[in-house]
Amino acid sequence: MNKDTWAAMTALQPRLRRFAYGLTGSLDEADDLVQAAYERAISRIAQWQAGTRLDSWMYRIVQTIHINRQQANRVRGAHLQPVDPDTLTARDQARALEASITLAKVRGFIGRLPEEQRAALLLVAVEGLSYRDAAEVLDLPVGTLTSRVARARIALRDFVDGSTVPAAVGGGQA
Amino acid sequence: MTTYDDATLLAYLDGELAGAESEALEADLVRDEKLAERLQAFAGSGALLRAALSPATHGHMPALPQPDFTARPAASWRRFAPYAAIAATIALLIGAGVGFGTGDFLARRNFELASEQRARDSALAEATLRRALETQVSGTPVSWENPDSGASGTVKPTRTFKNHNDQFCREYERVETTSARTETISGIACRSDDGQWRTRAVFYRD
Repeated sequence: MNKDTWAAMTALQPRLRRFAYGLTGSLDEADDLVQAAYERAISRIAQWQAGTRLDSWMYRIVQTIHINRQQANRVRGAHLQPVDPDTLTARDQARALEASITLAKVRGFIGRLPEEQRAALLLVAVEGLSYRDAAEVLDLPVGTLTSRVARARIALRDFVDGSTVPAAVGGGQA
Repeated sequence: MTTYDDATLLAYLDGELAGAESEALEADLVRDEKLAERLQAFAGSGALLRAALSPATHGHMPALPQPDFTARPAASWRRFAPYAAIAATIALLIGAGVGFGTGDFLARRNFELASEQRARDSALAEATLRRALETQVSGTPVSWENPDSGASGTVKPTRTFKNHNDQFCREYERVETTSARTETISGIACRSDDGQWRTRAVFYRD
């Protein structure tokens, strides 16, 4: 690891944290995930090819660890179902009455998206990756990535427009 | 007037629409209020999405684990294919076909040092080749660099097909640059059942 690479890597922390926040729905879990991702990146820096995108490589590590943890949790029977803020706290409900839509409700929406749509949506619409780069991070054909992003964004638009709780946001389809 | 589906509007928002298509859409946006509203709905909900996650990018960032800067990056490459490095050195020595005079210690030592670097270059190139064949889509190059020798190169898979043994094979292009010259090599490698890529044919080009 040289110092320039490390400087570039640490500069990514806020973006990786935002991606992890979107994936996990909690800042504490996001920090934990990002920490684990940096540990892995440090120990595997030799696998990163100089000249290729460091951010894509790091997003991929975050995503991989997240998926592995989810699978481990599923095996243990733990529930990682994203919390619906509508049912979470009275405070959120009160706020929701005031405004037609709140940021917390948007986060709740992200949490209810199918896992594979969520990561695709976050990489493209929040992190600003091109379809090609996002497809590479998620190891998908570009066409698959594009349709997942489109489905998630159409659902997001409908959610924001109607401010309705999507009962079945694209669940099931690949 | 053209009708646009949601996928096209999203591609436009993401800067993924080709230039001409993008210009045509922009012209229609000025004329077609409904179209502009549809685009705005996507843009607006996207902005809300980013705002919803923005708390993660503000405020105090937790401390990160620290790397060990004393570790030599080259050392990690040595783990890759020492056999390839040795084989490459032998190949170089044979290929060079140079005999040394008994008193020619200095020349020999320089030659050996240079050979060692070239062996490392070739180990890097081989590791990059395997990685590119295994992980990259056709048309995407992967690069390597040996700062000690100044050599660098890229490997780009160009086509994928199945051979008569039902193995995946890939055509690739290697470009290698040393201080002396740039060499372009085209090759074909096939993936054995044990997961190893074996080069079946190589063409040297100028």
